[in-house]
Amino acid sequence: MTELTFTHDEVAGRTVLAVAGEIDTQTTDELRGKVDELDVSHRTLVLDLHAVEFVDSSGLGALLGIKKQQDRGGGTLLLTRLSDAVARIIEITKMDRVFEVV
Amino acid sequence: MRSTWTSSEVGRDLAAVDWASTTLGDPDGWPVSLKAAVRILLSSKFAMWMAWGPELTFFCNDSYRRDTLGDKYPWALGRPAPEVWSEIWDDIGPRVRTVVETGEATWDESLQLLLERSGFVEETYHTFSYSPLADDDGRIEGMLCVVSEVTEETISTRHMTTLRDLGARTTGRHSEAEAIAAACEQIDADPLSLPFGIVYLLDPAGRELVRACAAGVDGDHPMAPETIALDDPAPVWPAAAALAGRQVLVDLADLPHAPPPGPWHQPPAQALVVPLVGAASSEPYGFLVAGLSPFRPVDDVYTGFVDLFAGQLSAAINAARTFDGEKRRAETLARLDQAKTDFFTNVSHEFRTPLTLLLGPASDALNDPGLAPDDVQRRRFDVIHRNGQRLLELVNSLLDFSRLEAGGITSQFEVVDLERVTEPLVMMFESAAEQAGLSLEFDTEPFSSDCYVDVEHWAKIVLNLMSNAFKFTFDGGISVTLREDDGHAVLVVRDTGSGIAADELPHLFERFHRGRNQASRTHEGSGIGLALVAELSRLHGGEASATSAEGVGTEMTVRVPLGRAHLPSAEVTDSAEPRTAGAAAPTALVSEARRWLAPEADAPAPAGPLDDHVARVLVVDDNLDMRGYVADLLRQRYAVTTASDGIDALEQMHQGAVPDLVVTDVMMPRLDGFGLLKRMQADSRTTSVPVIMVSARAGEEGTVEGLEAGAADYLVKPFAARELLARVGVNLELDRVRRIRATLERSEALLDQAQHLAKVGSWEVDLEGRTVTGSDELLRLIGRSRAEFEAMDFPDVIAGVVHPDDADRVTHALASLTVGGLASFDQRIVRPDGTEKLVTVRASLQGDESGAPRTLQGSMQDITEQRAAEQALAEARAREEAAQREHSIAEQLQRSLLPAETFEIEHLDVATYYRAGVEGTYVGGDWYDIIHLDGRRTAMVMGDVMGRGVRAASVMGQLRSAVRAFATLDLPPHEVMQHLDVLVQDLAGDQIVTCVYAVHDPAAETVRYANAGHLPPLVAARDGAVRRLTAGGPPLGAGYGDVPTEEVDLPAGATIVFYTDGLVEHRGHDIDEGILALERHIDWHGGSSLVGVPESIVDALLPQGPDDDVAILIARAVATDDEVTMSMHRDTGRATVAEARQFVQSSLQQWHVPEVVMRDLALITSELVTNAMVHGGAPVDLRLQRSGARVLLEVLDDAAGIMPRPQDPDDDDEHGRGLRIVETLSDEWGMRTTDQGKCVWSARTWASAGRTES
Repeated sequence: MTELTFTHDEVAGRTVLAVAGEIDTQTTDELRGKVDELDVSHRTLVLDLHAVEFVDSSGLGALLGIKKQQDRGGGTLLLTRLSDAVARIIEITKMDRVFEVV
Repeated sequence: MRSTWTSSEVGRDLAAVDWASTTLGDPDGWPVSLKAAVRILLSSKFAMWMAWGPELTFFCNDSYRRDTLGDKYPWALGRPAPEVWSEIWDDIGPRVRTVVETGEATWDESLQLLLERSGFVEETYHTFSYSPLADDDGRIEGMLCVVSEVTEETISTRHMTTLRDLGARTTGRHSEAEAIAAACEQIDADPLSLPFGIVYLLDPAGRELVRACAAGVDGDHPMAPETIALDDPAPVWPAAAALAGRQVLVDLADLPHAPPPGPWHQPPAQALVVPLVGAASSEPYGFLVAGLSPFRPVDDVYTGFVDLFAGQLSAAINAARTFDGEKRRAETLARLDQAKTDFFTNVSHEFRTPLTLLLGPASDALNDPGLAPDDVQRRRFDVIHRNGQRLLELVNSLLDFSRLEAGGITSQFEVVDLERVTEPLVMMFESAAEQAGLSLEFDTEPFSSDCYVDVEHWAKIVLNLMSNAFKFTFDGGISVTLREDDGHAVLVVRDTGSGIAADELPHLFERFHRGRNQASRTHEGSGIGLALVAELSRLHGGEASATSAEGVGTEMTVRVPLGRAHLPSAEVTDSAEPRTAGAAAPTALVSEARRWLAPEADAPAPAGPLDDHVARVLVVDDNLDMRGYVADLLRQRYAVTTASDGIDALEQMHQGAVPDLVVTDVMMPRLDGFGLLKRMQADSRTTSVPVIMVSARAGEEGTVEGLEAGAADYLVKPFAARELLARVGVNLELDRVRRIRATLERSEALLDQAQHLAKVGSWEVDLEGRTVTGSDELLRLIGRSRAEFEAMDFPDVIAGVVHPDDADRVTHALASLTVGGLASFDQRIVRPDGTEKLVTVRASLQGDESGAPRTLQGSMQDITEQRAAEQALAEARAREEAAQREHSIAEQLQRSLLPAETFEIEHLDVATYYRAGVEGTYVGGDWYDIIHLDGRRTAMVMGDVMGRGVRAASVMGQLRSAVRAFATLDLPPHEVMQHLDVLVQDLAGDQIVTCVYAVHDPAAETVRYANAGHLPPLVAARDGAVRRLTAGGPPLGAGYGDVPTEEVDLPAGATIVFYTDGLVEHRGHDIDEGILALERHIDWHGGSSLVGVPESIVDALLPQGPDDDVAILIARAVATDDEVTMSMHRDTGRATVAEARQFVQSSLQQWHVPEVVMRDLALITSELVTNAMVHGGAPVDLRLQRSGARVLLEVLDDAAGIMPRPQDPDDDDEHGRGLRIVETLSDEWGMRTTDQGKCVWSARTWASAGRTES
């Protein structure tokens, strides 16, 4: 049983959500749910991914979904502190041109 | 003034309002009362707002702003209140006006207000009071509102009420339909929380979802279809996800239809689909679609409520289903029980009619004075009558039993002198016991009070117990006691029989239970007797019990209460005197017991044909009548003996009475038919005696079992006399023919000789008178009449009889005889008809008194046929010997040439094939070998010595040994070839030998090889690309030279094939065509087994069969360094994908696979397993293999149809990257269909130490 853990914080007008755990097809709902709950699609959401030990294409899809949701809501999605796992899949899938990493 | 406002945030914002532009003007000019009111407002921690002046200008404090105002702040400050609360002014305007106009305060509790304060209209509840505010003159100029928001309390109370009501309505024994109806009514009752609700349940066949109820939505609404097919590609609701156990929040705007309106002026925008999960399994069996209020945020509180609602509903459905199931089971059992009882009753009744009709005439016949006492028909009728009686008894017990079961048996209890009634019943067995050499005792004491029994039932109890004791007792005896104990009459029947195993005791009184492995007098029995005893005892308010010790004996006890208090008074007959006479006792049990006794009770055999030529048949059966019947049938033709069971039969046979055939029953005590057969087969004296088994076990199964055990034949009861006779006859005849043939073969040679001996003629020559005489046999032999023969003179007779070519030799032989001397020679004679005969002539020369030659006499024997036969025999023998010799040499060589052991090579799948081209004796020149080397390596050898026969084979044998020796030295392949080259030059001279020697190294995943003139081995990669290994030198014996060793990759899944010319060389065809055909005809797919592959290649390439030797060796590198598998079931709520990754990672860690490979494979695993789960079905199997520096991951699912392929998603596509990732990270990947579905695999290699060598 894997579960994601979240910590969120408001820093300089931005919502920073730190995610820890493994993001796959069985945890994406959790991540999406958490982001929905924050309800910050009109604002800037920063996902801190340094504690994400694993992410696969489903997880990547979820990140993309969140990005689209932010775009629609007039907000922004920023990724920060990518773990190796996240960095590698973004590189493999050439999604570095899609995500904004700070 | 303004300085006092700045203590709070609102105060600061109030100060910023441009008051001059409002009706109130600059705050400095405000009346004192207003200033005071504003100060009170700002300093209060209670949420408040106030309105002042003609426009009801709006003020509020921090608390109000936080709880209620939301986004309207700070815009609302200083604005007219009707404008600030325009959306609810209809509700609150009248209240405000009333307060201002009348000066009376208002109080509203939990007033529902749809506020728009967070960017959407929200259902809220507030409790508030309006109080008037007066200006400095006491005139009412405004109002103060003190507000407390009670939204959460109100809504949670509503939720709780709904849940509580649902719980209350569904608790208890309700049906599934009732539970669902209650849920729907509850949804209807709380439309504010649940604007609509639909329940879908899987139909029993699991093919579609059926709407169980719908609330708040019309039955024909497109969002509430009556059924949803599981294979619907675009269902209204996400059925697949829900059935996979996931909650789904559905955006109703995405659906093509307008949602049901709900109780609000605005329809619901979202619905939550919640799975309904069974109690026993985690598989959902349906789901609830809950419409969500458009005026409440979809947060944990809301979804939690829907969750609880669905949970309560599924709990109710589960309870109802469990209850239903149990009820159905109970009903089914009761029905079954009834059906069984009915069946017994009916069947028993049905049996009685024909039995009566059978017994009547049989009895009449027996009583017919016209039937002589010794008439054979009388015995037949007797058998019919006795067995009919027995069957009737069984049927009666069965009927009693089913009557008991159905409660239909009536008892007549009366006062009985139990001792006087019981004793005769026991003593009925006296004579049988005497006959069996058993003691029988009956002991009783008087009772202190009256004993009520049903005499008929009691008789059955006693007789069944007695019969049972008698059945199992061989030595010692039976003792019966009848005593009073603790207000009960206690009947104990104690025997010294074989006893009952402890684990059988508890079942003893169950119906149809029959003891196993007990020594008994018979195997007959219905298993009803003791159950009936128990039932009848219970009918008397008593009980039956048993204790036993195996080998010691058994004690059966029946306890019946004294007196009548425990008996239903309607069944008790009052009588003054105790009854002393028993019922008309069923005597069948007693007569049956007598029949069990010893085989000497067999009817004496009537005089039958008993001379030596008559076949002897032994009939073995434990049932006396059956035994008698079969024996009588066979006695008409055979000498019949009988035995009562397997042991008896064996004893008889051991005493020397070995029959020609045995007919045996299968089910017998002590030793059954199969046991007898087995013991007979183990004994040389009886092993050839055919055995016919007779059994009541019908059906193919029994027959096959019997024949497999070695029975000559198998007969199923009931059988016709004719059939038995036919089978016995046929089997005896078969056996006789076999024996006669053997005897004939033995005596044939003797007969031949005797015939030849008879063809001897004798002759005599009177040398003085030159006359000749001969015996009749001689005349017959030479084909002349006496006159013709005697007309010939000596020595002219030689020319007249002897073959011209032999004449000189004969003349010489006779002439060289001295007196008293003997000569013996073979010669040919020519008969007048021109035919020739070969004869042996013995001659002696007799002298007269003076010793001068006087007579020449001798014999002439026809040896034409004998010689011809001898010659033929000698030739045949020579041929046979030669063949035998060649064959044994060939065999010997074959054994030494081809690997003796079966191939168990860790890293190779190997299949080999060898077939000699010419049928029979010749050993060809092909050979192959497989040799284990150090370091898990394997050497493979394929060679061909040109030419055939023993010589070629012996060269081969020596080469094979040499290769093995060189391999053991671990010489590199080309050096092995150089040594072999020298050896062949020494050994074989001009013989040409080709050979290929290859070493497979699993760590390096290579094959290193050297080829001396042999056909090129083929290497096939996993993808099917075939390559010929053409490198090599000249054949052995021709100077192999310095051709170096070659190396080729053989990764896991790749295949290498060695073969000889017989496979590819074909008369009239180019050898290259043959090799091309071979390349085409191999199934190269790495996954399939090699079993049968060589054979199929030969079939394909040589449809007419090989004309030359063919040898094939196929080896496939397999990944068996390490292999682990994992099987996953799509189990909701469990993190299976994570488990799969974890499994892969921990396995790879154990195998010391590099970190980076491990990480990539974890990702590949995640992708493939996710795909398998989403597109395939459970279970998903995962297999991980390592061979050397290569890991193969296979994910198998059971969805055959869909073959995934990598996609090229746009940058904003959320899906479709999985296989691209797999493709990027794998060295090789692919998919194939499997028996169950498909397998997607990915392989990954890395640089390892093993690869740097060579």
